[in-house]
Amino acid sequence: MKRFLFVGLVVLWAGLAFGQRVTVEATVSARRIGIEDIVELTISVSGGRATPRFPSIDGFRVSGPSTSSRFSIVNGQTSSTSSFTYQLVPLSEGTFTILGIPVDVAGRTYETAPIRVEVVAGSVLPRRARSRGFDPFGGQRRREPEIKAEDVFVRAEVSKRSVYQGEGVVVTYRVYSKYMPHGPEVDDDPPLTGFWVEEINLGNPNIERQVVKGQEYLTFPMKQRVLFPARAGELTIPPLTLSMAFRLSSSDPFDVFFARASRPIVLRSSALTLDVKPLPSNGRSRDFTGAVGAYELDAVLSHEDVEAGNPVTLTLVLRGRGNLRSLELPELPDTPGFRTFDPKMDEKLRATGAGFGGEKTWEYVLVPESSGTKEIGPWNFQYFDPSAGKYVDASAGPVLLHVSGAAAPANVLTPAVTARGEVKLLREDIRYLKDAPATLGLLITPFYGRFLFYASLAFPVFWNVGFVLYLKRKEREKTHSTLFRSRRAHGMARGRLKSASKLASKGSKDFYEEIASALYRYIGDKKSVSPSGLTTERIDEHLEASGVDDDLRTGFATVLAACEEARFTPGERTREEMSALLGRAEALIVSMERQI
Amino acid sequence: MPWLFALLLQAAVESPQEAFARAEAHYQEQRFDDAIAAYEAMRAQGIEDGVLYYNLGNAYFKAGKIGLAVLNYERALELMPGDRDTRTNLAFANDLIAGGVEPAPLPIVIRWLVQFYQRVRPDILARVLSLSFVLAGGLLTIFIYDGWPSWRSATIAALVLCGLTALLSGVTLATKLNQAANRVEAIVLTENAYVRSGPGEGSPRLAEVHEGLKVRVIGEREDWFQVTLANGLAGWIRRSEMEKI
Repeated sequence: MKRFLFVGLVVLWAGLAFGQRVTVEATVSARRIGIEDIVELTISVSGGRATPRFPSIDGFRVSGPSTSSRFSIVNGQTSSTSSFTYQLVPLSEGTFTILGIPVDVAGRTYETAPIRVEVVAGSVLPRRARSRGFDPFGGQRRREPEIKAEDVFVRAEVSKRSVYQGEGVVVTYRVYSKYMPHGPEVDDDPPLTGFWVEEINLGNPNIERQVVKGQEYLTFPMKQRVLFPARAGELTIPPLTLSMAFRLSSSDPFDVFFARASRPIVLRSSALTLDVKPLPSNGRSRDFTGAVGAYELDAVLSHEDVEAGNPVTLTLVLRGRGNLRSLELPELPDTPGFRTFDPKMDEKLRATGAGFGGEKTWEYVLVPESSGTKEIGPWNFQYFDPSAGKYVDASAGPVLLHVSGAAAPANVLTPAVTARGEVKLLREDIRYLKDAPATLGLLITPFYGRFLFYASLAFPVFWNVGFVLYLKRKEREKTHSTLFRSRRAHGMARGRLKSASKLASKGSKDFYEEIASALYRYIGDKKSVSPSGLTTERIDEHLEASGVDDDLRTGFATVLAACEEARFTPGERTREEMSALLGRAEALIVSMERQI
Repeated sequence: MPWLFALLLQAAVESPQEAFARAEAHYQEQRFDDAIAAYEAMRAQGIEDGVLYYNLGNAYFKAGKIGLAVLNYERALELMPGDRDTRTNLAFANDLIAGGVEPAPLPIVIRWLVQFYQRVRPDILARVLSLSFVLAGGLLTIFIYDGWPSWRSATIAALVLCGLTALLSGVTLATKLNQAANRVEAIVLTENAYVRSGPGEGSPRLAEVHEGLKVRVIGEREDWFQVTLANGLAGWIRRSEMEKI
């Protein structure tokens, strides 16, 4: 038995996979519908698992889909069909084409055939809740009853068709139904242009019974609002789209225990036009601010007698019916002799089925600054009364205030008045005296007058200039070795002469070589030439070129000649001779240092 | 004559601190005229101090002389430009002045800069200048020593910062000292004074100004000051009706 079932299942799946031709089909529930109707678009796919792409269709708002599928085995052939059902809500009248909708089945894309749908005014279809795709009771249960257009409808009702600009109109969207509605919802609430809108909070509306054209309906308001037309002319209130289900009951006793809700259906009210009349210019005063309705104005003072410098509260109340929220009170009249503060505004407004209204309160805090009897006001507030069709003045005041006490002198401190709930300043006063500073009476030189200040400005300059000069000099000495050598020449020569004098004390003949070398090197260093290439003649030329006088040049040549002679002729030289020559050489260099 | 001697003696032996305490005692006893006399005596001795001017301003305020109070608060601010008490009291006094002239409002950033300029003390600026200049000098020395190629961005930034600080504080200080040296503002001291189109009683009146108003002096002639108001109006006011700050 088990094995048989298994084989059967395998055959079934094989058939599903290979034995079917793919068909894709689109159907609509009606080709001609009213603007208030809903049309259903069903895409049926047989022969494979399908995923239609969500269609966007010109002229309709699309919702859904709901899906169902069915298997059937006919003459050993299995087939599976899936249906995708979309609800299309028409957006305007006219003829529309539902273009081919692409459907992906088993990796290939199929397209449905285009369908034309005509949308006309009003409603032409019976209202019917869609049947369920799956019904556990199969055929045993009766189908849901068909809902006809006159069975369920929504009406937009206005309190007045012809109004003045700024006059309040109550719009009620009322559902009439022969069945008990279940979970009504607003689907589409287009924005209202050209109106100030005050929504009325309906809370939980009562469902009433009402007889319309001999038929009994359950009726309840779905939405209610007060509209104030902002301009004159024909103004359109666009339709509201609702969806709701119904609790179905039937005569079948079995159903009593299984009472269930229908599939939701979509309802749409018809659009309304209002004829808005402009306000007449006849009798309009200059301070008319656009108030339409019925108003009264009150002015109340918190005290009638007050001392100068103490605050009083002036309360202005505007109450009535009309578009109070957008109304501003005319300016507080000039109040000479008073300090005034910004008013505190408070409003208690309510929208009901009877209209929109309430009261608006302005609280001014006034502080009289001088004594006497003061008159504040009067106030005038003009509004247009649409029921009488003319302008009416609401006025209040003037109010009288008796101020006692002397006028506050300028240096007497002014009390600051604050709004309720804030810290209340009693008085404002100047800050108290300061203590004597420790340095009082001492003449303190400010920092910018002190030596340290000037030193701090001068020191970095001198330091940096000095540093730059020092670096420059070092640089020069490094690069210009001539100068360096020439500066060094004297010192070097003195060093050699010193070592020569040591040789002299030993009586060595090397003394003469040292003397000659000292002189040659000295000139070499001074003239920045190599001492090895120097001869007596060359030295003389160099000295002449440097402008050394003849005496010195002769002395120089004599000393060098004496050295030559002593070096290359035999025989001892006495120490006295040596020290005499040394002294001459030293004197030569000292003189030379002065002349070169 | 002995009382004069006693007074001189008192002045000679009384230290400024004691004189201050005496003035405060008068102030506390609501004897504001005595307090004013004590403070003014100290000023006459050559004591220049912001606190002295502040207290003197307070005493004048309490005595009901708004113009002199404003004058002394302004003088106190010259010496201690950042002082909150003085600013508060000056604002309070200015609030009570009838028909004050509103200066044109400035954008907030400019207002901050102006506030900073007004409130910073020259002494502080001088110290900042000193410090930043020495620092910049030190950094410059490092640069000179290192030579161009080894300049690092951090040290360059530090040098630029120090240099800019030194420059800004220097310019601000110079401007402030210059402004203080060429003080050209005055306070109206009489209850009402007229701004006239020329220096003479015969000239037509342009505006009426009240005690405590601060005006800018742009010229002088005999008994008259040529002034401009905060709103730009220019004219002449009698010298005896006002005093330079």
